[in-house]
Amino acid sequence: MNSRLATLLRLRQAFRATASGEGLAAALVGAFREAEGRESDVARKLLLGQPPRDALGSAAAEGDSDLGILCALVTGSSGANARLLADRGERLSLTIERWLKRSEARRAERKILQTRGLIMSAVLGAVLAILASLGPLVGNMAFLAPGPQLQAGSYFIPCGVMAGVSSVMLGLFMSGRGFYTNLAVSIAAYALAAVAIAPLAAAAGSVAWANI
Amino acid sequence: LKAGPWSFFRVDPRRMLCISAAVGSAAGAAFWEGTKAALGNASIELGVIVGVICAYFVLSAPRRLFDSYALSQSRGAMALAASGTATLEATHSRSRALLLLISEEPAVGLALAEAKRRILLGVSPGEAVRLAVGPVASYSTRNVLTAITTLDPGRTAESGEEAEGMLANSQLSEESKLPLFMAVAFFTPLMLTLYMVFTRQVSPLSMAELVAAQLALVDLAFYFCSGERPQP
Repeated sequence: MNSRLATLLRLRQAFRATASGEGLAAALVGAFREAEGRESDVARKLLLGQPPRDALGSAAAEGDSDLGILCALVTGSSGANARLLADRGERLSLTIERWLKRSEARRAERKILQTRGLIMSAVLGAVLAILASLGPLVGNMAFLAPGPQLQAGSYFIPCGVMAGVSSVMLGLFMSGRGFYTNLAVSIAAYALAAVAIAPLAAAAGSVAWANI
Repeated sequence: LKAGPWSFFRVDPRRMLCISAAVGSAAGAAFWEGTKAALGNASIELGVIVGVICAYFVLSAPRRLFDSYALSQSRGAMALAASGTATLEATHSRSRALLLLISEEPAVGLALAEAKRRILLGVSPGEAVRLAVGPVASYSTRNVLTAITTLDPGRTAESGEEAEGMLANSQLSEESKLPLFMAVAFFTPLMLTLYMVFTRQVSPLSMAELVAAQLALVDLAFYFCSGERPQP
């Protein structure tokens, strides 16, 4: 089971026990007795006499704003009606569970987005490599502007940099810190496409119309 | 560009307009200056677009910041409501209930500390909360705090509608802006490469200017499209 959902269910179990008359600390000990990892200390600290605020702290919800809301409810409960608090907390946990499940769904969507970003980076790298290879041939036809004769490979460096810039931005947008994967995929596709198109570019370079 | 966030941050709208116009003009002029050798007349139109987008970023910064605060605070409103109701039930006193409330959210924590200070100085709970909720951006958090002072348990039944609405809004916004960013990131280098090819630009300086133009355009699109993404 997802660790965040497991923590949520433990907290709900503690709220349910408290709502039925058990003390909050005792209910937390019961719920977190079998917990593992960073939550394993919660029951131990409570049994050593620490109040729920210190025992739970942010250990159960480290870096998780949704679970942090539930933990804040426990840690800010001194002087409150424990049964009413637990009753409200149980209802609140249902909302948080919905948020957590939605968050998991979004995480899955994000993985799909990352894959799409990688595919886009590869396609961009390949297309720019083709443009960089065939660009001098097309440019020498002088459709729009007269200018110096373009040499094969004139555009390899700027097109490569452009492919790198766009793939890094795509990676930052879709994968966050994993942008270097997009960069690597784009550069690999760029190099592969450039090597693959090289014979065609060389052959086309010898055609008379290409040197008009 | 609502005026609400501006008044929340105590920003003078006219000054904000002047600052955004100055930033937009500077960005547009810098873009034009940096790319005029490579892009020619096209650099004027692109410079205007860059300037307008930069001005929009400056003008909308308070709103984006306000939305971010409101989302964070509205998520904590449910815990605050549950805690407030339980404390009110235990103490049967508005002042004591407020004095016992704790919030992990910094702005709400500050507002609560201010309200507690005023209560201890003898101000009535309702007046203390009314004077202290200035830094609170979330409607539901304000509502919960006010409900505790008016002993209205019905209004403290906060179930996160504001937070869910804001999250749904930001997700829809993200879904709309994702294709835009993908199109800009994909087609900008292609268009600039074709421009470079057809205008037969071979000097390293003009190529560097086109790469810089691409970086500026994709970077602006990145910030425009990622501005309202929900925080992980």
